[in-house]
Amino acid sequence: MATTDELKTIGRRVIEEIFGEGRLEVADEIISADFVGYDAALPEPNRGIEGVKQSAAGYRAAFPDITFVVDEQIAEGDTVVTRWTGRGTHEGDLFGIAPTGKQATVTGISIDRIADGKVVEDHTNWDTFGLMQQIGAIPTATTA
Amino acid sequence: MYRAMPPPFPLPAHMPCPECGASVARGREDDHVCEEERLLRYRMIQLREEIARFDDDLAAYLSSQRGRFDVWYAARERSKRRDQA
Repeated sequence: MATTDELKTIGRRVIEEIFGEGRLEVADEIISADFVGYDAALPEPNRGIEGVKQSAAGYRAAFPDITFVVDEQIAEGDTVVTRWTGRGTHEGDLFGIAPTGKQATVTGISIDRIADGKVVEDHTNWDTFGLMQQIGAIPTATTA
Repeated sequence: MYRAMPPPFPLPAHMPCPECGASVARGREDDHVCEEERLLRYRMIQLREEIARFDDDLAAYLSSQRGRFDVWYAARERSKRRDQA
């Protein structure tokens, strides 16, 4: 079984390297072929290495300059929890929403289960609602 | 008894600057200074539909009878000026 440091490194690499730097080839190294990922923003789970690559490519197409900062990690057993902040400019189509040029900052939490040095399962919840407000897809209240 | 409900859509922790689109933390709006490059890029994206429409309109005009004549006439005028110079 991986050490807690190894779990944290894998969790960090998913966020920073695959999604943040767009190094999709890293998925071949640290994502299991049996991977299933549950992203709160997506109606269907991502499956397999290609599922992760497509998800990362999709977000990066919408936010080409996206960057991620890992804020906190907790590891236990075979699982690592990563709390992160992402920031990027909406310059491509996102869920059918045309580019707005607006920069957004969102936070999220990913829970990754690791087996044999690869991520086999991911549950990610992130501030989809806040993102929609920031790019103007949902109105914001200005006063109480 | 009626109790006022909280706003249904509270503001997120960050919002884009209305001028340049940069993500600015709430409460830090006064510290924000728009970067020229981002400002320009943001405005270009806001105008993308207008730009696309202009390109379409221009292409349609250039392929029209009037457009083809104007292109020919402009080329002839340039040629005449070159010859006179």
